[in-house]
Amino acid sequence: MPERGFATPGFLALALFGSLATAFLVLPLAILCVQSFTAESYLSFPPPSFGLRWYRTVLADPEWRQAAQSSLTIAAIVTPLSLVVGTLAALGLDRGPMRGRNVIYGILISPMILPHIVLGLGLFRIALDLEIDDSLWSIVPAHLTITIPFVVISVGASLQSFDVGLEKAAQSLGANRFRALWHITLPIIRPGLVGGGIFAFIMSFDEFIITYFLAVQTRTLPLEIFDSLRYQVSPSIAAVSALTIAASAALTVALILRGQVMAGGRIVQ
Amino acid sequence: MTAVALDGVVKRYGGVTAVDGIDLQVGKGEFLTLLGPSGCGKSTTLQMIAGFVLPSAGRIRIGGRDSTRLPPHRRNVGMVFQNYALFPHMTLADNVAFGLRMRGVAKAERRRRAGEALAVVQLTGLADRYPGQISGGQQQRVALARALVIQPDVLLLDEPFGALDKQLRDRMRIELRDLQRQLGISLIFVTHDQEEALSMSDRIAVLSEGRIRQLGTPDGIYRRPANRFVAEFMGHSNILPARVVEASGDRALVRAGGLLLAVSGRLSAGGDIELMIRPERIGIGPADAGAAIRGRVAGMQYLGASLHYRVVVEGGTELSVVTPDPGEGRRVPGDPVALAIPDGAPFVIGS
Repeated sequence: MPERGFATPGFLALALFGSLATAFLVLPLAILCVQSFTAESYLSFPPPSFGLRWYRTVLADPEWRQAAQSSLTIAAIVTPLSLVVGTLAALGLDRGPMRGRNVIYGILISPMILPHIVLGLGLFRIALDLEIDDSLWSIVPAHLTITIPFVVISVGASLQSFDVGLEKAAQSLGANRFRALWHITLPIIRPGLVGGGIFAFIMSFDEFIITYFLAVQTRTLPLEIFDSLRYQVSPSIAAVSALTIAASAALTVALILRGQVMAGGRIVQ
Repeated sequence: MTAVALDGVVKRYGGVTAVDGIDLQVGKGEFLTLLGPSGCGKSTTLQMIAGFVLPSAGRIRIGGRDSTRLPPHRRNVGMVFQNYALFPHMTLADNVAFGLRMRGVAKAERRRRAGEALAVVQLTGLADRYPGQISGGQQQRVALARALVIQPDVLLLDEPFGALDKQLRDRMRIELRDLQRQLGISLIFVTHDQEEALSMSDRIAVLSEGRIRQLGTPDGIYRRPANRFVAEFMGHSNILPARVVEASGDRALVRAGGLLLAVSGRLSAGGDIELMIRPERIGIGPADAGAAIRGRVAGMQYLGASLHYRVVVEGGTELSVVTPDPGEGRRVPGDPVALAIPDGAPFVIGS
């Protein structure tokens, strides 16, 4: 095939389409962020005057603070638990017998495909029976069902390229299986762990539908945003949203950078 | 003293027998090679000694201790893997010190001994590099240092030179042998390369289909193969069916095609046997009316240092003949030639 460069009509059309699609995704977020800096008491675009008024309001508001705190607490419990369970599951799938592997894998990641509304309903039923609804005892496990698949996939992908011979080498040098895992395998698959962990954190922090079923008194950030939208549309929501977007963006950047940081001179092979 | 002893070791995978009853003793300071084609069970045997594969039957003793069921980390065995298996996230010093760290050696002592081990393999100065930053030959040396630093009862090497180019492989052969002698290490080397086995080993065990076909010194195995498999596996050979014409004591006269040859061995007249003659033991010269064996060159392969002729002798038998390249006076296909098979060159491998 002849070399044709990038200036072909087809390529330009594709580039235009791509740009439009990206704009469609990003513009609402951008508009929201701009609106959040309004100095007025209503939402408008473009805002007639700018200021940090609503950020001050939000950060000082005990309800928002409480909601942010419980979301962070839940995510902080869910993330390490997802990592432990998800990594062990990925290791089991990678090292265990071939038979039934695909079935178990399918079951493990099924919460990703299952509509969250169905999942939420099911978990709600169980939580009611066990009388653990509206507490961390139900919300954390509920979040785990949707965060663990991300860790299984992310760590599983890292294990695919991991040379099991390295563990054998460690064992021949006197490491038992756990120490071989700890000193050799985990450090080497760290990109997968970090990626899975960030995904798990974001998924838990953002989770709305399932939490909505389980929470009554407990207020997480997504629930608080939803509720405040129902009763009032104040610029404080824009400020909260902008803060959430900034946090997610920071984590995403970390996710992209981690590959490069790891590749920096060390894991080259 | 024996470093490693295998006693009737068997490994079955389902219905397949990978290792079929191996008895073997490796002496302290001995360089023993397990040689055989792929699938002969040599690697499985090594994996059983290392503890990664449990034998289905039999016993393994390492350093005087029954280790048949010990997990790998509790055997004092050093292993060099085919792809070196260096830890990519650790410096060379940390790679080498890993075994000491697992043994609870203090940090300063670890650092010192790792430095010494790197010096032994001539890698001083590279201690703070990472495996991804050094060449294949250097990685090979690090793997060796890492296995040596724990002072293992036996060092196991699984086709360690497979990934190196020919020149480096030849050099590593010499280095490994020198190092092994110098440090007095007991060593088991697995390879499918007969030249590697012949050039380094004290003894070679030739394996096929999970069994030892012959165990002996390189010279003994090359010159006096116990059977046709070993004869064919160890370099080029002419294998000729022959019939005993005349026998007295441990000498006999045999006929192989058009050739009449004297051999040693207690044979009975009229019996059918197989003879092996190494191509380099046969002399080749200009056709001479008085020569005992006359033939015609059917083909010639130029191998640089040597020439590899195929010669069809009277009676139709084809013989391989290898001679150093004389530079001038090479025979070409069609040339009439005379062959000389000296006394002792034909060896009886089966009767």
